[in-house]
Amino acid sequence: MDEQRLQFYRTVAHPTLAVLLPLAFLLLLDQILRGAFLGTLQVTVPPGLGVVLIAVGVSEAAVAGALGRERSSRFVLRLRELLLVMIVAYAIFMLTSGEFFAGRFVPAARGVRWALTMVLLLWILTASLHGTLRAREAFLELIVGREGADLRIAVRDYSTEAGDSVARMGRAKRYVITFQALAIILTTAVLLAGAELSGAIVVLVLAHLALGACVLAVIDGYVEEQQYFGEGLALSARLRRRRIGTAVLLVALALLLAWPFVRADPLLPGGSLTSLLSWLSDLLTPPTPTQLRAPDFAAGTQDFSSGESPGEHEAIDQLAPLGGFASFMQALLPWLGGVLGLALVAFLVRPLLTRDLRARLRELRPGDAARKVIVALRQLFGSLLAILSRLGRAPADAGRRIARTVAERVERQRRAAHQRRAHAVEVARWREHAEAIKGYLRLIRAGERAGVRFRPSLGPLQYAGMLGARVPQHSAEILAVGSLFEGMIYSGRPPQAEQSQAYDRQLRELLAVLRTARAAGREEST
Amino acid sequence: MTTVEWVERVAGSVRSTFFGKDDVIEKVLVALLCRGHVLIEDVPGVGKTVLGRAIAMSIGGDFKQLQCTPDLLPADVLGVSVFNAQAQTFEFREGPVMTNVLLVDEINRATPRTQSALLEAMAEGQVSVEGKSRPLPDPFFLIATESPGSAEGTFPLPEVQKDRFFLTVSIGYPARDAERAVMQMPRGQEHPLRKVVAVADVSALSAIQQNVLAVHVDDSLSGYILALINATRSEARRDGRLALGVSPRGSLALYKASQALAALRGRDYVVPEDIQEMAVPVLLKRLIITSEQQAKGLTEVALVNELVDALEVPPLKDAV
Repeated sequence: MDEQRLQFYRTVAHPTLAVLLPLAFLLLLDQILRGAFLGTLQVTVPPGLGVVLIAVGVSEAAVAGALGRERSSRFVLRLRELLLVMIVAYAIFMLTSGEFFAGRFVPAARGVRWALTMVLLLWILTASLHGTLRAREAFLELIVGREGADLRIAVRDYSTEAGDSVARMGRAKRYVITFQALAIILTTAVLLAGAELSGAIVVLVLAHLALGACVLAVIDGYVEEQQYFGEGLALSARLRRRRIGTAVLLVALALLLAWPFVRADPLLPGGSLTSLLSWLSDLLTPPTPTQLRAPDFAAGTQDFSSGESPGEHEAIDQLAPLGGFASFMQALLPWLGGVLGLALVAFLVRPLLTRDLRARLRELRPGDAARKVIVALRQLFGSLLAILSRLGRAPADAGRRIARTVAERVERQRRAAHQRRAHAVEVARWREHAEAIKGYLRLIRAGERAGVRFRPSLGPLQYAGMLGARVPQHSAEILAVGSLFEGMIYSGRPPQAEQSQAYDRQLRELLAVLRTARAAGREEST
Repeated sequence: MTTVEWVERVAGSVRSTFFGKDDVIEKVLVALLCRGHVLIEDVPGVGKTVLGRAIAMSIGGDFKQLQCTPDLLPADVLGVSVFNAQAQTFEFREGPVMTNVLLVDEINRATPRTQSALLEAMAEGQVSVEGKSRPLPDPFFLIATESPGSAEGTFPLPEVQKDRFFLTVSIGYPARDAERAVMQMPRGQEHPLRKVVAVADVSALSAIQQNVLAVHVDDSLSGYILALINATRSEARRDGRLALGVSPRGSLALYKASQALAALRGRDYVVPEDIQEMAVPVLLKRLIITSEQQAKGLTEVALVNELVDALEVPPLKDAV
């Protein structure tokens, strides 16, 4: 685990996982609920909802990363961030819903409420999932740069953080499984309800399932990697690349399967971005004169002088008896709202008033910040290019690896065949001494029965010496047989008849003597 | 004269003054028969000089002794040209290296430069002095001694130079009886070494050395030697207990040493016991144990013995 890889996890891998999966889930939820179940409510979301959701997810990841670097985990900061996000999202939705520019201010339009709910859910889900992954980052920070025994000791020393990391991975898996289960339940409900499954829903379901499987696999990989760390080992780069490739392949396959189901429905983010851009274009295009029409001055007027049915103002009439309390509340509410609003503003702007932030703002150099952004963008672009080029090289690399594997196998088989041939030659060579070798093996077996254990590292004469020491009265005969045997085997001369006969005779006599000695020994012991 | 007769005569002559170490005599004669050189690593006073001188006198050769000191120069070893005022010419005065048997005492006290001059003589059989190569006498046999362990003011031979010695022996203290015999040896006015006479001709040694090369080594035993050498290299490759395995020079030395030992014992063929017996002296200084293992007390002798014990002797390994 090196610093570069940790940075990759911190800035790319974990934020991507934390944003993508909740986003996919919420989009699916949105499509199913609005398209299949709540169609009668005619909920129209503001254009660009998907873009805003992505932006919210990215902002959560960025702020969480920044707060993590500051070692700050205060809930108040996150609450402040959430409130700011909701306010900004509300402003964007209000602008893009079209009501504002049409001269209507509907602060709680249905579509806006829906979109805000999605934003809130996304932020919460992303923050939760990202929080579990940050526990892993905290553990990795403690072991970065260590290897081998040093790594093993570090994992042991930081066992609490390691355990916490594994526990959080387990929690992350539970989140993912929950998302998957809910997606399957909702899709099943749609099918059972007989509602039409749009192309977008099918794509989102498949993509969500594939993404969920990939995320589960990635989290399992994290846990496995941590087990390797416990042994002082690191996962090989090749294994990691293979896993990433499999995950990408899985997602691509899922999308490919879903492609036939895609129709003209706007899919995120492209569709959402298109709708946003189209709305912006409409906004910026001045209306042509023919579009103007004379205002309807009669609209909105009502003749109150005629007798209206009391039912039209029934609600007001009903309020009449409660006039005292209601009018008090009516008078109080604006003040309450004002106070709450001021409190909210104070809460939001409080960090701006801290000395620390003022000092940082003073130190802030826009040029440096811009340079950092440019460098970061360049690095990101470079990484993307590297990934693309690696993907492009992948087939050639795979071909080379296959060729290398084949060549290694061929070489191994060639060496094995050579060894077999050499062994066969050796066995054939010893065949001419087969009788002598068999005879000596009989002597070894007799020796083992006499309690002198044979080891393959012992030379024939060496073993004869050990056996002779055990049976000293026949030591000379044993050594003579050993010498004869060595002479026959190692002299390089073909076996001589006289030599073989002398060897056989002496060996037979020796074996007989050893049998007798052994029998005598047994008799004595009984 | 056969090899066995020659060996018996020379060993018998050496034994008359060097008591109780027949195995050391045998190993030194093995090195002599293989045209190799010997490094004796041992404490002072165990008979290194006596051994070298006895061998030189027994084979009928010339003997010189060189006591190494830190101020010893290469010229002191190889020789130097001296101006003869009368003849008005430079005359080369040979150094002690121009001899049949040279005993270099405490080679680790000489500077690396002087050590290199000696090692060049060992490897090449000639020396270069003032740009001119001068062949050394044949046979040329060098016995170097080194005190074990490092001490101040010494220049221990690096491992790569120790590889040039054919084998390394350690004499050790004599057995009780042998030491008693040394103490009780009549001395009188004549040093006992003066009683050692030449029992063989130096010129006969060349023929004996040729005979040694003709000793048969079965293919299976060549494979056995290679298996042992490869075992040392595997230990080094696997980040095992060795930092460096045995070089091809070592495998050749073991091969020749086995042949010489077989010839010494009257055989014209090598047996596995010859290889096992020569493995330790030949390979002792040709492998480097890691410092970690050294700290744990592992020695080269123990490691070589362990590797030998782990190898299977042909042909019984296939038959059992």
